[in-house]
Amino acid sequence: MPPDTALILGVILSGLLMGGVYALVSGGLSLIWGVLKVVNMAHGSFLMLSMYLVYWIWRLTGLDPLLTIPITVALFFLLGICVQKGIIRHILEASLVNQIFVTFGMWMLMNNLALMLWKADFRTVSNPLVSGGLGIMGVRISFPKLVSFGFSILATCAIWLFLQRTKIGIAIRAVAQDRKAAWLMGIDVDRIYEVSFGLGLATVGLAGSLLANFFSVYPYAGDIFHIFALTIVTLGGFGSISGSFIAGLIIGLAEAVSAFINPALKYFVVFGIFLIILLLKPEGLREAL
Amino acid sequence: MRSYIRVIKRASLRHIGYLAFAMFLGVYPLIFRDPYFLYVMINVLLYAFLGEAWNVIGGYAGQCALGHAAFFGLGAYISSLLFIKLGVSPWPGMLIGALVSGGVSVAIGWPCFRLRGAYFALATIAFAEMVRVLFNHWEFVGGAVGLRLPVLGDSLSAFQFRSYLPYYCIISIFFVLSFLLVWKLSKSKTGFYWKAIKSDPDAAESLGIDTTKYKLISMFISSFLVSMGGTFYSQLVLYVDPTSVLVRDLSVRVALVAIVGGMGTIEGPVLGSFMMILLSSLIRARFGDVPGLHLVIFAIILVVMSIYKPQGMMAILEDIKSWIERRRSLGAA
Repeated sequence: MPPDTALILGVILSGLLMGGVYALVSGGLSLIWGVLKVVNMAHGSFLMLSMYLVYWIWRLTGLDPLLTIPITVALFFLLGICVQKGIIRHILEASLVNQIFVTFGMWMLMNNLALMLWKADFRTVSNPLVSGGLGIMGVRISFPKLVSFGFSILATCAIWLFLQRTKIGIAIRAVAQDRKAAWLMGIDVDRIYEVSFGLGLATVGLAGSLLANFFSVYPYAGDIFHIFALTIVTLGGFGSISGSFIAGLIIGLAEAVSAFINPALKYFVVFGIFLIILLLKPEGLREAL
Repeated sequence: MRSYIRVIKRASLRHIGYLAFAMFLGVYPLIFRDPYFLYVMINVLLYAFLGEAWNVIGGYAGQCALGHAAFFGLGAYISSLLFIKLGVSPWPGMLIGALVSGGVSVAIGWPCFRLRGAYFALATIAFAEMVRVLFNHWEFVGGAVGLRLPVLGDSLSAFQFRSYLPYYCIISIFFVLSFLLVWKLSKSKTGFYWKAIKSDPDAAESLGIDTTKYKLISMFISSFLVSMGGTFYSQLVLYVDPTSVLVRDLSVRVALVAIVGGMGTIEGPVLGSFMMILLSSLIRARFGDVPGLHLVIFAIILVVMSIYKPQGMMAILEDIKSWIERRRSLGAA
């Protein structure tokens, strides 16, 4: 294969692999948005916290980021339930401005707590279990990204199956469709909210374990993922896991290709897609799927 | 008759409060001569001004605009660029910047106002981020390094001074004008239309209010004022870069002042600004070595306030007032 084609293929592959992780993070955001009708502006900060958790576990016990997956997923599921019980439950009926600013407050709180506790230093996990990459006919693929992609796909499929097949999953979808009707049918709406928020945060818990392998950890690490996730959820249609999966891949690809052309271009392209989708088709791809 | 007297009494109490505050503004620099105290008060007034501006779109018209950093930045950049590249005095520069910001806000608001709820907030965030990335990579405007304004010493036409006192006077005037403007607007037909749109856009529309038009008016005024604040800030620090004038934190801080103080009230942003800026100055003076501490405390106040007192400090004051009245009437009985 000529080197140019190989390079471009590598860029596309790497974009798609990152897109998988974006899809995972967005899936959680989308679930929370769809079920609770609250836009979680602190989603990226939870991701950052998860990355720090993974980093500190590795630093203090030497446990590899990939092996922390059960810990982060379980802890963030519980954290989600706590946040739902402690904060979000109180604002479900509040005005939109209040809802947005409560979650914005959480974003500010976590980012600055991280800054306070751990300074603005960039920290990286060295010598993770999976590292390096492989080249097939000149196309380079990074192992950590490949593994992350695999886990992300598995998790997204698991959530999708959970929502489609299990009793709680069906209840979650019922609540997302019509809160009141679901409540009249005897669904414990509060519990569904807790499970949904817990699941939403479990995705960032998992994403933290995956990203810490090849991403620096710093107090603002989550912010860019958050903006990307908002874009993806808007593109995919909020509440739709399959929508955000496809949108995640699209955004991952758009990011990689535009960054390949000019690194400065990538945010511009992503935010541009965000704005254009909002203006032209705010309901996203959901109906098309 | 009695109730009329009470209304007059109450209204005049409010006016006396305003007068007292105006006097306080006049006397403050005479009492606190230390530059630090002046600087703190400049910040308080700047944020009160910005909060007042956000209040027009967020508090009165009820639109969750989260990209005001873009207009602040545009104001700061346009006046600075005009001054550096063309030698235009920052005063007309400020006006041009404000008009451009207002125009941009209308251009962005016109399609965005079709969006309901969170989508409008997201669109404003996306827009502000795009502006930030653009300025961050645009070499003509200094890129990530930013622009440094030439230091010319005391010069009214160049909008820069050696001492803080002139800045204090300018921002006081800005603030008082914005306060009067918002006060007038809130009593005008437009103000009532905004309140109608805020409480129920569909009902407002069905009553024949051109909701898009009035939202655009609100957006224009809001961004116009915020942009003026941006020019003032750039002249105060004589330095503009994307991380200080175009970041998301700024958009949140501008709104935070109004939210904590009390959205949709004229006094709210003033109260919020005093509380937040004095608190943050105090924390920074006392625990300056702890980065982010003041923002952590802001965040806690914001979360707690939004959950338990969404109407802000003004509502707490109202509560205290009614509590005192209750006590008094109990005492009278």
